Amino acid sequence: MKKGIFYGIILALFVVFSVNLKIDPSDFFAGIPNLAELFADSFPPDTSMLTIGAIAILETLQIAFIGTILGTILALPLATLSARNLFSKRFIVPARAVLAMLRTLPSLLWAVIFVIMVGTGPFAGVLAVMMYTVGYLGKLQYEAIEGISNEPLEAISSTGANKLQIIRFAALPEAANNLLSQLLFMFEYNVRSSTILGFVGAGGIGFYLGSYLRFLEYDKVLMLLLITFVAVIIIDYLSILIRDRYLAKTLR
Amino acid sequence: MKNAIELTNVSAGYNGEYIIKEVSCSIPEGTIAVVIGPSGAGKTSLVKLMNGLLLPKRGSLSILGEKSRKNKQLNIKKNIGYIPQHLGLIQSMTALENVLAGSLARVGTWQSLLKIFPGKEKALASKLLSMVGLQAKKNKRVLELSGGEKRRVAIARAFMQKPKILLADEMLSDLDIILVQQITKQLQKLRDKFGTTIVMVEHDLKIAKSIGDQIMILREGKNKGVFPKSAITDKLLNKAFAQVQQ
Ligand SMILES: Nc1ncnc2c1ncn2[C@@H]1O[C@H](COP(=O)(O)OP(=O)(O)O)[C@@H](O)[C@H]1O
Ligand SMILES: [Mg+2]
Repeated sequence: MKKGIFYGIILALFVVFSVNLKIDPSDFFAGIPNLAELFADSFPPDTSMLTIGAIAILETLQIAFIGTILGTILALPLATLSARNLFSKRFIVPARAVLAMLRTLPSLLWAVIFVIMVGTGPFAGVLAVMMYTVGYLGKLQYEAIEGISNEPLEAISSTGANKLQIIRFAALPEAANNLLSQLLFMFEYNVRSSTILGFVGAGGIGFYLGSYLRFLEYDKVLMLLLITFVAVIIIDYLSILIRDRYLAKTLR
Repeated sequence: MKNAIELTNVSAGYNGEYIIKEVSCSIPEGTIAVVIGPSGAGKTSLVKLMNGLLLPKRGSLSILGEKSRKNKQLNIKKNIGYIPQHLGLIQSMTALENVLAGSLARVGTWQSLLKIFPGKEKALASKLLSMVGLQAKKNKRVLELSGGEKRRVAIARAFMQKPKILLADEMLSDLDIILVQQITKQLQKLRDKFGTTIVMVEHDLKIAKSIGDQIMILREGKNKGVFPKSAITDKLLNKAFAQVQQ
């Protein structure tokens, strides 16, 4: 009965919300020749873009890496203050509010703000990735810390250890596997989202992608997309390797 | 003789439900008390009351001379060694590091955060690991140890605190008879040499009888009787325990 109401509401919302979106399958099918034209235009990919593209994707990876690391370092103290099994409401409420606020904007919008603040270039990108990482990873981190079992926390606090020592000797080591695996996940995610930061001037391959799209030079765009594709696959593969090699082993 | 632990009509529990019901008991300094009772009786909860992991809702308790009433936290943890029923070891740390955690209240915060411990603490930790027969495994991570070995690490960690009171929740489970004898001997030594007060939760009546200066029977959160050593006879105990076990 309750379930029926729930599905009914979803269905009603679906109908109401789709009305003004001009959803029209015939448009979709009529557009297929456009796509064919686009492909024809972009083949063959312009290999002269290889060097520029490689340098630019490297900058994207740098932005993602530095932003992720800085974000992680800032997220961890906030996540610790947000964990119910470590702190009282007095700390949890403000710490979680900060994390939630940082999470409201996607990194692309953070990039817009930082380009205005520090000017165009990769530094704005690093700051944008960092901000979003703090908000998003911080949430994952406090959930990981809250997920550890109570016994080690009780045992270490029973030795008379202070709060910092309890965090260092119980909370963090017990959550370490999850924290590390989330860090990898966040890095992969940031690599992807960093590829478009250049659209708004925040560095990396997105700058070229955006420019050549505007100039309709699709053969160059395709080359840049291929480079991005390869880089993302390599990062994902490395990430799997790290997971298998270092994380699987320490699992209990 | 002064009492190390004194409970007066203490009630406590979780989520508004009482698990410990109006329990009174007193444990003199330098003695060994053994708590027995069926599983679910509240033995673990009773032990947690004695080191502040569970706070009293009613009644009062006095630990090492500090008095506590409703929901009041005492600053006594560093003087109380605790061997939790499920040990609470840090799986990814070595046996030695786990034992060193017992000295956290004595060492500087910043050094300890970097896992830098004074030489004399490291020496003591090694000595305690030898005492429980784990000197060869002190650099193994806990997740690589067997159940009985883990238990011995937790015992060494509690000893590392140099506690005035030692709370041991079923610490002799899954240990072989020789180790049980060795460890009970150490406990008696701790009591005789340092005047440590020891509270043990045990299932095994024989062990309870051989080591306890007094035995307390707990059932459904209530104190069903305290037997001093002189009064303990097999018949009496068996009868009391059989009654409780039904
Ligand atoms: N953290 C907790 N939250 C809620 N209930 C608990 C908690 N710990 C123990 N209990 C309940 O308290 C009762 C007594 O448990 P416990 O003290 O562990 O008994 P024992 O050690 O004698 O087996 C059990 O019914 C158990 O479900
Ligand atoms: Mg128990």
